[in-house]
Amino acid sequence: MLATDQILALSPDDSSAKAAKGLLAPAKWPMLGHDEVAIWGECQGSGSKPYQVIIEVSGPSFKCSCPSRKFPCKHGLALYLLLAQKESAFTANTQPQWVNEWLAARQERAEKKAEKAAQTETKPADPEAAAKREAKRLDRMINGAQDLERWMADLVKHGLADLPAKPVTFWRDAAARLVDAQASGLAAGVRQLESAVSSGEGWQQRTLLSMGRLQLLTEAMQRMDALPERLQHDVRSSAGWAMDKEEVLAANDRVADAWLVLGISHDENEKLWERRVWLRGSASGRNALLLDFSHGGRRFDQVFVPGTVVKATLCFFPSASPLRALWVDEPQGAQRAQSYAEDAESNEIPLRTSSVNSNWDTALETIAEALAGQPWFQRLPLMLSHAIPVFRDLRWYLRDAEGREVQMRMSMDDGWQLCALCGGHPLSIFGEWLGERLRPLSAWHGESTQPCWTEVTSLA
Amino acid sequence: MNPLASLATSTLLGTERRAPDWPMLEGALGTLLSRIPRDSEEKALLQAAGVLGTCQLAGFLPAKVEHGPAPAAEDALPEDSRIDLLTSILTDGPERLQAEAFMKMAAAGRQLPHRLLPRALECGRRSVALRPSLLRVLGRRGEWLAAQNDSWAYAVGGVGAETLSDDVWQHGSLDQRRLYLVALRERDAAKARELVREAMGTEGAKERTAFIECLATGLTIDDQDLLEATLTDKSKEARQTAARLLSTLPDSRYAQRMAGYLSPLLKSEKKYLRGTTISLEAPAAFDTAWKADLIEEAKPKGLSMGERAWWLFQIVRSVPLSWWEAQTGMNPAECLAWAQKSDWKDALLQGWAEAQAAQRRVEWAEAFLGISLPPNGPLTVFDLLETLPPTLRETYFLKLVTDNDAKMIALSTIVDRFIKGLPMDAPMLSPAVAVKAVKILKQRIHSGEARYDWQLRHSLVELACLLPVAAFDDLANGWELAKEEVQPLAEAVARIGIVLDQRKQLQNP
Repeated sequence: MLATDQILALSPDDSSAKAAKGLLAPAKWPMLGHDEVAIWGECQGSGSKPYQVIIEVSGPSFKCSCPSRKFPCKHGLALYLLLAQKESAFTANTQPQWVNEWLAARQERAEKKAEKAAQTETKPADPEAAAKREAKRLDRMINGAQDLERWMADLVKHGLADLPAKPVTFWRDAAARLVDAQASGLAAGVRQLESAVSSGEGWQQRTLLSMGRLQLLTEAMQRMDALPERLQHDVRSSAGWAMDKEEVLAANDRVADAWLVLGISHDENEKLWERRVWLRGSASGRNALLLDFSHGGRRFDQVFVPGTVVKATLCFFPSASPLRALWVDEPQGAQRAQSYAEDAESNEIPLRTSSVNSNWDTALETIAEALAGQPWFQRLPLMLSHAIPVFRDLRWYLRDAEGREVQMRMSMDDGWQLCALCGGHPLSIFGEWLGERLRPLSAWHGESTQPCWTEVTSLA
Repeated sequence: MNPLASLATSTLLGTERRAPDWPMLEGALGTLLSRIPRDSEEKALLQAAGVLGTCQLAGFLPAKVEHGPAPAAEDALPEDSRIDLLTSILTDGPERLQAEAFMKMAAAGRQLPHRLLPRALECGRRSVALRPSLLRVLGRRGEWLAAQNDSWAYAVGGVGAETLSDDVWQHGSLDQRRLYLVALRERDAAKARELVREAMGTEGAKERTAFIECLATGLTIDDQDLLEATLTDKSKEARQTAARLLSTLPDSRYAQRMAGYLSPLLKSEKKYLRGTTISLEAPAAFDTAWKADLIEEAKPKGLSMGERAWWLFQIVRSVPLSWWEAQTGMNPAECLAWAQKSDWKDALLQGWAEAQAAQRRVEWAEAFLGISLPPNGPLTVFDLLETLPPTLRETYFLKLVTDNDAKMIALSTIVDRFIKGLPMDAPMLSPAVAVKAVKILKQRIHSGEARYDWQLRHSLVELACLLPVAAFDDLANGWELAKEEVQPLAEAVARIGIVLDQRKQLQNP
C-alpha cells in the first residue's frame, strides 16, 4: 500500500490530483472494499449508475468505468487516497463479481500476450531482406548527417554572432530535414543547439560545445565499420535508431537482480511524454535506465515507485557503457516488493549506498568513466551521499562535504520542500547529471530505504 | 579562459572573416588536437570543439564556495506525525481549520512536520490572521527555513519583526508603513507618535490621514496634543479622523468641549410623585465657535432631519457615551428607551450609533442589539456584534438565525458576517447554541428558503469549523439531499463531512 504522496505522484497531471481530492468524502462512495490483491469501490458520479473503480495493488494498475481519458482517472486516485486516509470506510472484504471478472480477464490478457511474444520470437525472419532494409535506412541517416555537417560548417564560417538573430523556423527546418532522414537523434541535437544559443551568458561556448559533439557523431556515423562493435550501437542509437526489443534480447546482456527504483523523471515535448526510470541492482550494483514513451498523456503501463524493489531480469541494450535496459518479462505482482524492509532476502544486500560518493570528485569520476565509454550521453545517473541543498541568489545548488557546489535544475516548490527536509544537514541525493548541472529526482535520509523526497514538478 | 571558450570567442565573427585561435595544449589532449587535419578550416574547428567539449564535460569539477549556510538547530519539539491529515488541511482546508490544527499542535507540544513547512509558510504569507498560531508550531526548522526565503520574512525572529525594520518606514508602501506604525505603537507608543508628528509636516493628505488613523492603536490622552493640532489640518479626512479619535477619549479637551456644548441643552426636572424627568433641546442657533471643532452649519442636501437636528446630531456623535450615563443616571438601555420618546429621536439615535461605531462600548452594543436599528444607519447588527467579546456574540447570532422573520438578510450573510468578525482563537460555540442554530438553519434550508443562496455552500463549511463536538452529527447528517432545493448543497455537505472528520482527528493528537 502506498502513502498519500506516492499516490499523488501517480497522477497524470495536477488537475486530476485536485479533482481526486474533491472525491474524498466517503458519502460519495456507496461501496468500498479491499483485500490483499485489489481495492475497489463504486463512486457516485453525475449519472445514475455509479462508476466502478478497481485498483490492482501490485501494479498498481487502475481500471474505471468512467469515460475519462486521463490515466489513472480521478476516481482511481481518489479510491487509493481514501484507503490511505480512511481505511475504516472500506467495509466490503469479498470481491464483487465485476472486480473478480476484471482481474481474471487481465490475467488472461497477460498470459496471451506472453504467448504471442513467445511465438513471434520463434518466427523465422528473412535475414537477407532485413539486412537490405537496414542498409537502406543507414544510408538515409548518413545522408542526413552529411547535410548537417555542411550546415554546421556554414554556421561557423559566417560566425556564431549571427545565430541569436535567427528565426525559430531556421532551427525548426534544420531539425525537420533530419527527421525526414530518420535521424531523430541528430534532430534533437539541433534543437539543443537552439536552446544553447538562447541560454544567456556563456552561450557561445555552450553552442560550440553542442556543435562539436554533433560533429563527432556525424563523423562516427560515416566510419561505422572502423569502430568497435559496441560503440557502433551507441552511434546508431545516438543518431536516433533505437534497437528493437528482439535485437536487444538477442544480444543477451542479461542481469537477474533485485532492482531498487532510485528515481523517476518525466518530460513532455509536443505532447510526447518520456519517462525515465532509474534502477540500481542490489547484488550487481549496476545502474539501469528504463525508457518509455507515451503519446498524449502521462500514461504508462507499468507503474514504478521510488524506494520499491523489482525482482526480475533486465536485458541491457548493447553499448560501450551499458545503461539502457528492458525487462525480459514484464515483472508481475509477486516480483515487486514495496521496500527492502518487506523483502527479507535482500536484507543482507548492500543498499543504494553500495557505492558511496560523498563528494563531487568521486561522483563525477563515474560520469567521466561513462563518457569515456561513449561521449554522447545526454544524462547519466548520479548519487551524492553527503549533499546539502543550498539556496543562493535565487538558484539552487548542491554542496558536497568539501564545499564544492553544483547548480541544480529544480522547481522552486520542489526546492523548498527538499530544503525543509534536510535543514542544512547532509542527505543522499540521486538525480540525472545533465553535463554541468544536476536534476535531482530523489533524496534519502541516512540509511533509510525509502526516499524522503522525490521530484514533483518537471521543469521541461 | 578555458580553451573551448576562447575558441568560441574567436568563432564569433566567422572563419571567413577571422581565422580561429587554434588551441595549443600540452599533453595527450594537445597531441590529439595536433592530429586533426586542417584542410577544411570549418571542419577542423568543429572537430576540435568536439574533442575539447567532450573532455570538458568529462573533466568537469565544480567550484568551491567558501561558506556554506549554517544548518538548522536540533528540533526542541517532536514533529506532529499526522502528515496525511495535516497535508489535506493545509492544502484545501478552511483557514479557521488550519488555525485550529496549529493551536492543537502547539497545545500538544508538537511542531509542524518538516515536509509541510513550505506549505504552511505559504499559507501564512497569504493570511495575516493565520500567523500568530502558525508561528507557535514552526519550530527551529521552520524559522531556519523562513530565514532563507524573503517572502517568508514575516516568520523570522518572532511576531511581526519584519514590520519593525526602519527601512520599511523609510521606503515601504503605504500599507507596509501603516503595519509598521501599528506594530511600533504596540511596543513604543511615544516613538510612533513622534514619527507621525514628523510626517504630518511632510507627507501628502492620504498618508497623513492613514497615519493619524494608526494612532487608534494604543490611543491615550498623551496623543491629545497631536490630534488637537490635526483639527486644523488642510485635509478634511485627516481633521475628521482626529476628531473621531479625540471623541473616544472622555478626558480630552475636545470631548469636554463637545459635552460643554450639550450641557445647557439637557434639562433635568424633579417632578412631584413622578421622579425626575429629563428632556433635551436642540441648539436654537449655530455658534460660530463650533466651527473649530468641525461642526458644520449647513446641512447636507437631501438629509431628512432639520437644521437644528443636524447641529445636535453632530455634537452627539462626538460626545463620549459615558457622559450620558453620568449626566442622566440611566444605563444604555434606558437611554435608548428615553431617546425613542424624545422629540429629537433621529438626531440622538443616529448620533449615538456613530459614537458607538467609534467608541465600541460593550454595554451600548448590547443595548442597541435590544432595539430595532434604523435601516441604512451607520451601525449594522454585525458591527455591533464585533464590539462584543466573542463569548457574548453567539446568543445574538442564534437570535439572528431564529428571528430573522422578515428574511431580509440571507442566511449566508448572517453566518459569514458572524464568523468573519471572530478572531482565529475564538472559542467554539457552546453546545446548546450550536445544536439549536444548526437545527434551525437546517429547517430553513429544507423549507427551500435558501434555494438561491449560493454563498451558503461556503458559509456552512466555515460554520463547521466553529462547532463543538456535540453538534458535529447535527451538521454532518440528516440532510434531505434528495430534495431539489437542497441538492445544490450536496457538495458542501460532503465537504462538511470531511472537515468535521478532520476536526475529530485533531482532537486526539
